[in-house]
Amino acid sequence: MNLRLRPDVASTDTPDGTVLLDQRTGRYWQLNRTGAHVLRQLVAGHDVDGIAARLSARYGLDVGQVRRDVFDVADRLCAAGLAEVA
Amino acid sequence: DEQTLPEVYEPPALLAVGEFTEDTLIGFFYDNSFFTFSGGS
Repeated sequence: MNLRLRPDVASTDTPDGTVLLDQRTGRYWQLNRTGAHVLRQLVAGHDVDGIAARLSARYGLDVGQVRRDVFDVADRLCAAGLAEVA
Repeated sequence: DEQTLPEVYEPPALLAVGEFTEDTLIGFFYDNSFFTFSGGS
C-alpha cells in the first residue's frame, strides 16, 4: 500500500510531528512523530511490511503489532479524506 | 526521518485538532514559532 496526500491537503512539520490542513473542509489534524514518519515512508513508496519491520527492529517490538499500528494510521488518514491509495 | 522518531515507541496517531473558520482559511503559531503549510491547491 502506497499513499499520497490528496491534492487539497497541505502539510507542515512541527517539533511534535506533522500538521495536515484539509483546505476543502478547513479541518486540520496532528500526526504524532511516529505517524508523520509512517506517512512520509508510505508517500515515498515504502510498503507497510518494510516500515513495520524497521520500526519493530528499532524498538524491539513485535512486528505484527507494529504492522497493525501502521495499517491503522494509514486507514485513518484515508478515512479522514487526507490521503488516498496511490 | 528516523532521527526524529521518539526514543520510546509511540504508536502512530492521527488526531483532529480543529477547524479554520472561513475568515482564517498560510500558517499558524505552534510552540512560539510560526509554521507555514506546503502543498495543497
